[in-house]
Amino acid sequence: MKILVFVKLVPDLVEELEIDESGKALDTTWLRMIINEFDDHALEQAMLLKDEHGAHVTVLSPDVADVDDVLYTAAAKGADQLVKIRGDLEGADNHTLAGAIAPFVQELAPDLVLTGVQANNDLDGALGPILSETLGMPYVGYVAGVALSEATVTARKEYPGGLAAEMDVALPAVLGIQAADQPPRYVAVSKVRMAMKSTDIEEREAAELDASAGAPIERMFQPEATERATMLEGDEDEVAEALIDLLRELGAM
Amino acid sequence: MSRAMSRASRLHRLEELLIGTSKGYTLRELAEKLDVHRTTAWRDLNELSREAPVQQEGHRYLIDRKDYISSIRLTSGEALMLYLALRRLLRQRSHLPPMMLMALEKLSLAMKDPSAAQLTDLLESLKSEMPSNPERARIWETLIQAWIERITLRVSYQEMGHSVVDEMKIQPFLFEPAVLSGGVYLVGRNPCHDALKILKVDHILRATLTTERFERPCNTTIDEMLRRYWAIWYGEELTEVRLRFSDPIVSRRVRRTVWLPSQKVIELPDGGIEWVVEVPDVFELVPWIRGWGPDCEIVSPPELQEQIEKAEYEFGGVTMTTTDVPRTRSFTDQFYASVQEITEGERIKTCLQCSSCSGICPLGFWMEYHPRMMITAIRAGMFDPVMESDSVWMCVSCFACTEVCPAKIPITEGLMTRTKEEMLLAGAVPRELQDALENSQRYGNPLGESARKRANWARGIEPAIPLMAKEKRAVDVLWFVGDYSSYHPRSQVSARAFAQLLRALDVDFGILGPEEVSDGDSQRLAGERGLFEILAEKNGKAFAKYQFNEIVTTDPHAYNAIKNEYPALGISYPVKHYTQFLAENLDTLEPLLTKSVNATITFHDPCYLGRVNGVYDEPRELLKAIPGVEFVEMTHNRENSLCCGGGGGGMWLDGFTWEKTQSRLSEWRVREAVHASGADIDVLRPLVPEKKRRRTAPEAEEAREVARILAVACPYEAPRFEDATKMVADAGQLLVMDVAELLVEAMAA
Repeated sequence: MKILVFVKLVPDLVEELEIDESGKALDTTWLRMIINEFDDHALEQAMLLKDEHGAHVTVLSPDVADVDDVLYTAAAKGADQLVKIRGDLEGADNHTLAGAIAPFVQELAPDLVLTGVQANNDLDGALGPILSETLGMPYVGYVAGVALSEATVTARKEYPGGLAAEMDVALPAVLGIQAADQPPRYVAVSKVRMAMKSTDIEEREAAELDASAGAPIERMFQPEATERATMLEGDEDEVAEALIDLLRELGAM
Repeated sequence: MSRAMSRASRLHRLEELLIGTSKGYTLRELAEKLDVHRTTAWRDLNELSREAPVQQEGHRYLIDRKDYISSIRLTSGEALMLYLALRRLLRQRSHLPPMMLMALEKLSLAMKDPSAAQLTDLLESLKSEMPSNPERARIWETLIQAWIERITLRVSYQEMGHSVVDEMKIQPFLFEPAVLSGGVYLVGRNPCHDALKILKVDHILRATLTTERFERPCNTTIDEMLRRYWAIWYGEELTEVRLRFSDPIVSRRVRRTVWLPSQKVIELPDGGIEWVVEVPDVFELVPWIRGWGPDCEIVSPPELQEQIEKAEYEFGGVTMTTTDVPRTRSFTDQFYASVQEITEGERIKTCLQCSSCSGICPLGFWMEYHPRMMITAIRAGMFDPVMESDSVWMCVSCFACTEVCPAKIPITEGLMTRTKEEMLLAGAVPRELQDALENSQRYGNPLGESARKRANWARGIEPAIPLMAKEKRAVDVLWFVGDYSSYHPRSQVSARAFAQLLRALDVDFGILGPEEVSDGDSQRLAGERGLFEILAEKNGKAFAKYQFNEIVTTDPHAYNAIKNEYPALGISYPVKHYTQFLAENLDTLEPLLTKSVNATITFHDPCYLGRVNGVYDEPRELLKAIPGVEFVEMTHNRENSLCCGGGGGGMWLDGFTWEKTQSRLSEWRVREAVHASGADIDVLRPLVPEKKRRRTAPEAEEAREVARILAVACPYEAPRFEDATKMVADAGQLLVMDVAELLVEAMAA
């Protein structure tokens, strides 16, 4: 069993986001990148499958700042092969990314491709479906739990409203992971340091990028701060009464 | 005659009616129900009032069920039997509940001579030999009312030998006497955790009624639930237990008592006996069997024998020997060797198994493997079970065990921290701790805040707090602010107070701001040594960039790290805790303390200032220099101080620890502070932070101006203890203030 996990780095929302002078992109001066939370779950799911069934896990990621730390951490958790794709991929949209990584996925020929179901910088749709389309593989998204058998995987797909479905998917396939069976594990810093010494990151050059497939960005906006909020004054009863009046007025009651 | 009979039965019916109602009946309603005229009903009511506690609420009459349930008629034989049952229960109780006494008195009245006279004598002797305890009686009354009326209770519960008092809600289902001990148990459900609880009534310290009602499950459901929990109930599958007592005196003693109703005694030719019972759960017998020591031999079942041996092993009994089977170098051996590699680590070999460590550990009684047992496990070559348990995560690295150990074993640094390191390498980390560690790694602080905002606490201070990167000059004091003083809103208040003090003393100082990262000490003690080293190196690089004479820090953990741990990594600077620094400058500071702070103040010794680094006097000197202060000590102080619960990763394991223990060390400490600072003192107006002040009525402004203050000197503590004051009864008026905040208060013009 060969599993490929695609992870990307996204802006860390601990820092305040600013828009650059062009008005079309984030200002990267103070921007820090962090592993997409859902990709971290995809990695964990791969580790759990490896723990249970044995697997060769490859982690693939675009070469952007701080990616080495993410890849070494994956190695410390148990990933077997680390690959970063070089090219002008910082800020690339998902259509461009899918096009850039598809040849490598085909070359590595995994049985299963896992990636996060979404990311905070998805402006042109999630990566998983685009990638699966490019690769001609089936795709199931919003997966929270994966079980393996010989030629299929059973994916537990979540729907809104607490519904879930179990789907058998023929391999090879792409799964968009919403949550792994367990929360991502902790890996001690000393283990990451060891991984840095004992693991190599393979570097591969991306083929020509096609930036035309995604959605063109006209302008970015900061969320508007307005002063429409009304503070209700008074004791509990007065506030409750005022709130009820307000809800009636708005037709909510 | 028939009229009198009908009157007696009418009174009986009236009594039933009044007990059965919660709203009460009017006279007219009663007359209708009894089918008599209102005047007759009125007479009956008066008659009944003489015997039963009839209450009148407006025009309605009723009998409160908590006062009185029903009248019963007994034959003398039945009364005697009841008397014997009560007497048996009384035999094993230290206090005589007045209710029991009253029940006995009523019984004696109901019984005819000669038993009555005998009973009266017994009653008199009982009254004289057993102290009555009104407080316990009140608890009993509350429990019974809740049980009858199906009201959820709030109880304070303290298990035998435990110092922590649990506060919990309980829905009482039933009372049951224990089989082999004298206790009475309350069986009920804890609605907060949906768990069945069995509480020994004698261990309930306080009981109050809540406003919540509950549905009592049917009896079979209760039996079903209990079967899984406890063996006082009759199970369907019974196991035969066969015990042999050979010693003739012991045999006689065993034979004489009916320990269990199902017991059979078989005489043996040698004068001994075999005692045979059938029980649903053999393990309930374990403590009883252990009580007989070597006089009791287990014939069957074999698993009981194992259980006893295991217990003996765990409790350091005679069967604790290491196996002779040659072993490969196991995990235990490697672990043992690694503990011995640390400074003084070899002392672990000299462990006396005295258990002082486990006894003084504030959470030791919750731990599946407390420190002494961990050493026992190592010696037995069986450390793996310790690794499978998560009890080491309760350790708050407070150094109490290390301090008390007569063999001077570095228990905290060696045993506990090494175990946490192994747990961490194995990936067995509680989720919330994992977040704190990942945050420390990524952002340089466990709170997950932006590194760029590390100096934001100082915004608005004029003149601006000097940032080393901007000053570009040598300063006298480099102030290492620390994580919580930088980011936690409550601890920021303390940081601003210290800034004011530095200004008042005209100290030439600077801070690192975004260049400072977590000192890493608590992460180290939580088992993340690698992370500690990275953080220390980052701080070391920042220190090296600038020129200063000494480091002063507001965080005892940073003080400990920079003083004791950084030098081994080649980062060596003179460092002081801020209380040391201020105490050194007390000559300059004292004349500025002009305003009287009319307060009773007690001081909590931070573990990493006091016990670990021996700094006890400086904070006390500072507090005593404040005019108007009456300084008092808490029960646990100085070397013996109690941890706030935040050390060694505890700061990031509150949820975990609560889940395991349902207790908080901070609340324990606040209870001590409330106790130490006196009970009848009002709020000190000017010292109440403005936010709190607004909530009190203006007339209270004139209240007596003496405060009760818990003074702290660690940024972990103000938030922890302030939260605890919200949970502890009578702590509402206890103020938690940093020493720096108090000094500023005394300085105000």
